[in-house]
Amino acid sequence: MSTVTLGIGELGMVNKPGDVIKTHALGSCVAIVILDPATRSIGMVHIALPESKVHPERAGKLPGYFADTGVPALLQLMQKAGAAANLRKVVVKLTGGANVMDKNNTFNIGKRNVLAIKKGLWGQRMGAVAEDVGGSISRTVTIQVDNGKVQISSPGLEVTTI
Amino acid sequence: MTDTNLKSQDSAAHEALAKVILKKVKTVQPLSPGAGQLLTLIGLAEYEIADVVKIIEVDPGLTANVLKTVNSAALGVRREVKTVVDAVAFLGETKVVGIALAASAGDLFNSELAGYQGNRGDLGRHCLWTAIASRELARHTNGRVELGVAFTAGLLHDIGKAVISDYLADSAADLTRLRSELVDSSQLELETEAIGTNHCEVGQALAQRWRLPDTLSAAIEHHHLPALASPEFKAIAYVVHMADMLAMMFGVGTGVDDMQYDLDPGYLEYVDLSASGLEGLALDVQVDFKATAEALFGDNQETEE
Repeated sequence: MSTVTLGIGELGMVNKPGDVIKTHALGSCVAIVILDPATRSIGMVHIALPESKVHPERAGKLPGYFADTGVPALLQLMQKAGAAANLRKVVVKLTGGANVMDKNNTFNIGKRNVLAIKKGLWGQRMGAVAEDVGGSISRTVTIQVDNGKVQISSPGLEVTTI
Repeated sequence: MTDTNLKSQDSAAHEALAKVILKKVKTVQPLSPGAGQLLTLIGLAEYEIADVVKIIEVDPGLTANVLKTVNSAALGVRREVKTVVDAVAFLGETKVVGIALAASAGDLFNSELAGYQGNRGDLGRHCLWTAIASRELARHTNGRVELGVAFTAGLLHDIGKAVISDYLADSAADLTRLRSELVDSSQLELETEAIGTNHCEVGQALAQRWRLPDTLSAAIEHHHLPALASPEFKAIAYVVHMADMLAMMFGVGTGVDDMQYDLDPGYLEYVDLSASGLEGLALDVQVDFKATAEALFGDNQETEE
């Protein structure tokens, strides 16, 4: 039984009873959660930025940092561990991507992250079945292998589940 | 009793509370002489590295802290750094200011922040992230903001939160009610509604108590409303304003107020940066932050629930 906590740009997977995977204070970052009911595996990646072209060298070391490299990296990690063999049968959920209203469109990183992630998922012929994205709240995400529920908490707000 | 009477009673109570809070600022411990001199020097923007070294060398506590930090495993120096001159050359004067502030006002930076539903250490981490981002944003101001000033202003911008946090915690019920009633209000307006003042005003009062240069004081006071800064301080106010927003976006905030502020789009006049430029900058800041936080705070936590 273990708890895996992901920092910015990190990805991980849990699959044992009692295991928990979580990531804190997403802000404009987005957590992609992939659940594989067949193997009771849960993968997650904490995406910070939409495109790896801003820093290709870092993308090589920490692919989870970017939407375009994070999606394939998470799938690869899960498939190496024997999960997500059939991409049609996994469940994808998204949360985070909070936004700052900016008419100059410079600070809209949350929105750009969500769009880039959806584009990356479409590239794999995948899509999210549930999402809690946008708005102006910072979210912490926790998922337990035992129930597979994606729990979202924010300071001062009730915990929600998607 | 009429609504008007109730409101004037509320307003009198808030005014009285604001006075109590500003009085409390006067009881905050002064900075150590070394830290005070360093902040003043760097805030003046024109200084020599030799002056920074001189201030540290005559302060034994500060010297010990600087050498301990520079030799910490997180910074990966190959040979032990034994002199202040070498330490300042390796760390840069901005990080030395960070060390001086952490040593001198560490209790404030390590406040529990109950009023923000934050955790011990959140304020220090948020201020450090904002400081590094301010320094990097200053590189895009066409020389209008000096890097050391930007870093120091970023480090100090939210110091008022440490003072008002307990008062906000006492007004938690009021704040919850105000949050549901005033949904379009920023955290700053909620603070003023609940306790008669806010962390910017109180931070500015603390800057005056510490006799900090006007640049730093203005950046602290106007970091959420930079358009209100006087023309000579607008650029630094916008730089810290942007850095603060970016820190919250990257999950390094102080609690319930995360992302509960408005962005002033007027920053474009002072900071020349594209969307992809901002993304690259945020990435550089995150990398620097991880190493510096480990060296300064002895941990590598990015955020904690």
